[in-house]
Amino acid sequence: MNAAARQTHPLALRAEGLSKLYGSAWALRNVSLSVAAGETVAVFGANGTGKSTLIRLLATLITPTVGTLQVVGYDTTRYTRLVRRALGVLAHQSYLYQDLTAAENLRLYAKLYSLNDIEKQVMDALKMVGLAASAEKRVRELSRGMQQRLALARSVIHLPAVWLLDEPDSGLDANGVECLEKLLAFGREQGQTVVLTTHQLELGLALSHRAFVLASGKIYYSAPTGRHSVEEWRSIVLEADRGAGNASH
Amino acid sequence: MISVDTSGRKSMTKPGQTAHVIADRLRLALGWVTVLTLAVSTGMAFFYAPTDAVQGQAQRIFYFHVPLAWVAYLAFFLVLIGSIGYLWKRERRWDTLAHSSAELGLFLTTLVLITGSLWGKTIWGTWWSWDPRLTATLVLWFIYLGYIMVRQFTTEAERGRRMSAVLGIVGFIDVPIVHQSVVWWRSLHPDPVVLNANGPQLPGTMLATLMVNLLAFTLLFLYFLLKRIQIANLEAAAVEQKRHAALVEGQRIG
Amino acid sequence: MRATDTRASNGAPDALRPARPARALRSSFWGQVGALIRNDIVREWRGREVVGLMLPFALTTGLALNFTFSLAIEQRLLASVGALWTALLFAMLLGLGRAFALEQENAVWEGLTLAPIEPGVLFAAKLVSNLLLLVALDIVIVPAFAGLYNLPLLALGPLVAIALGTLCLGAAGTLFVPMAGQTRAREILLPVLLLPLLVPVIIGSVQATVTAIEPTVAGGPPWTGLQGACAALFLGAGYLLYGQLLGE
Repeated sequence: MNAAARQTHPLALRAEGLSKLYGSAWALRNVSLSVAAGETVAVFGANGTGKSTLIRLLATLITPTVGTLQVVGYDTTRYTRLVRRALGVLAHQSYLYQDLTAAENLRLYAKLYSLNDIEKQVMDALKMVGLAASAEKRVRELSRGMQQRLALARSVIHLPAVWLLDEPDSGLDANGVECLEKLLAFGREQGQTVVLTTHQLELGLALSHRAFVLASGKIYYSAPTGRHSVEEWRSIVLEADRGAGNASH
Repeated sequence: MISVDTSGRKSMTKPGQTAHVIADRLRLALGWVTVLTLAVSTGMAFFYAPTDAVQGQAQRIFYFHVPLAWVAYLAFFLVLIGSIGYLWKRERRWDTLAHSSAELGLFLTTLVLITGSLWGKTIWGTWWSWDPRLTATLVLWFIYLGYIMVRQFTTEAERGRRMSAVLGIVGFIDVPIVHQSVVWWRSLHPDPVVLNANGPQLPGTMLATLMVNLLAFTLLFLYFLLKRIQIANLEAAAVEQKRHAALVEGQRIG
Repeated sequence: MRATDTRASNGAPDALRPARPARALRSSFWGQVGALIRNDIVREWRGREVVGLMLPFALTTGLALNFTFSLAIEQRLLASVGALWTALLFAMLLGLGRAFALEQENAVWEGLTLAPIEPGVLFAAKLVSNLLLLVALDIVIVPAFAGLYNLPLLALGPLVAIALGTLCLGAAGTLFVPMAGQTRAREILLPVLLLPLLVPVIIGSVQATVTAIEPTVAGGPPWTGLQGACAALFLGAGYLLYGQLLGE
């Protein structure tokens, strides 16, 4: 079924001329990108270059001022609810109820996504992010890093076709990063499509097939991750940031 | 905003330009017809209609108050239509109709409240009374104030359009309920004189004056509405231009 | 999350899956509504952040209002019932506003809107949760006012009037609190949006309560019918238009 789905929709994401205007400032300008099904893509860029805006646009949380966006072949403005079913979104905020336990939060979302065999799925998800022992702890009592792990589990518990992860590594310790890597490897095995943003170049490059560098809301550079060494990528990101800084003066 | 678009319009294609010229001429013609009708209707209100035996000169404000109230209700009906249209079709023009009408409706309702208040001061001896129609009109004013405020305080323009549309629909359905509730609650207002079960109770000359004023104010409303829609479209065109500039820049760098 | 479970968790969009039978959809409607309500109750039970706020507020409002009018006046009954509804109305604005603010902690509301559920599911669930909060408020405030203002509220007639009024407040609040809550001026905008729309609810509820306590000879206008019309408007509009607040 997955293979069939990929054949029907070879492109998991297809954005054309995406632009987002906030007040009188463009948060994103004329961004066009295509992501094939099963591909993992990293988005790099300094703070304020539009990474989160891009993720929020792809997640249908905001609508583009101009441009079109298709997720698994469906236009996001016309088929919003259908598209949302195919998305798993990890935003800066965790989407977790403070006063519910880790397991209760996952159980709620599992129910909302109409999953079967909920108890098992919840436990599997908790194990995968190393939180099995904290299942009955309230989110309020979890550390920042544990909340991030739980948020990660929440975002993909329904094993969506497209994972949109905005800084999935933020606040994670070494073990947490390992969990993230395992989770993404598992997703890749399943043929899932991933778009992630991160400031950790090594991690982002290790996890992805392709990388984009954003500078002041535009795509500054994009290439398969293997084309350059980590150091080369680092200088590209710095150059993008400097170039944008110069342009705005 | 307007100056931005004038240059933009020049760069447009020929057929678009012709359409603009025709629309401009039509608006101008409507403007002049409105001015003429208003001159006639105002003249009739002051010189043609007889002085009321009981209320005296103060009754003449009725020729402005009633038409204002009528066009205000017309405006809010158009808000309803525009709101339903937008939620259904998600096309910008429906929203433009709705919010242009809402702004005008709020302004007209303000005038209704002021003229009613002036009349009340001379006849009832008080600027304000909690009479059903005054109260219902005040509530109406607040509902559409909320409509405007929701749009202003929403960061996402598209979300503001959806939310105000919900308010435009619920508010309009609520208005008759508000009206009926305050009628039951209390009554002091003079009974309706035009829409009366025994037929119109006005002398012929007064009725004619009222009708001409109704026509004049309806034309004035339509003229204002078209102007407001034109301004909204110019604002949208300005954003469009900005977008175009961004696209050109984006292509240059990217 | 199992690799082998392809039925519920494969990557294909829903359109590519075989359509589920209608009965399964029905049961998932109530299952989802139940899950949402259960979680709201559990959260409120653990934190008591809404009821714990509304109760003292409504009680102190009742106390303060007592000094704004004399109980010796002719319309003592109307004034006392008015005080009751003023306290309930403002406690509702405050309490439901707070409940929604809790949904926005960690942006949970955004997470809920991203879930592929019918807008009607979310409306029904939030309506029931909000009504439970308001009923908890009524259970304390109504006997308290009956005592403080010497009102015979604990009889069938007044309780029906209060129940219908509460339904109206809950339905209107459920629709408009998320609307105001997603703007930059939520605390201010909620009363500005809601109070004008609630004018018939206020009139109807006060008069229905008064009439239930002291029936007039002539019968008077159909206040209960007015409450019913308002409830129908806000319930119907909420069910049909709730999706518009979720960004679809």
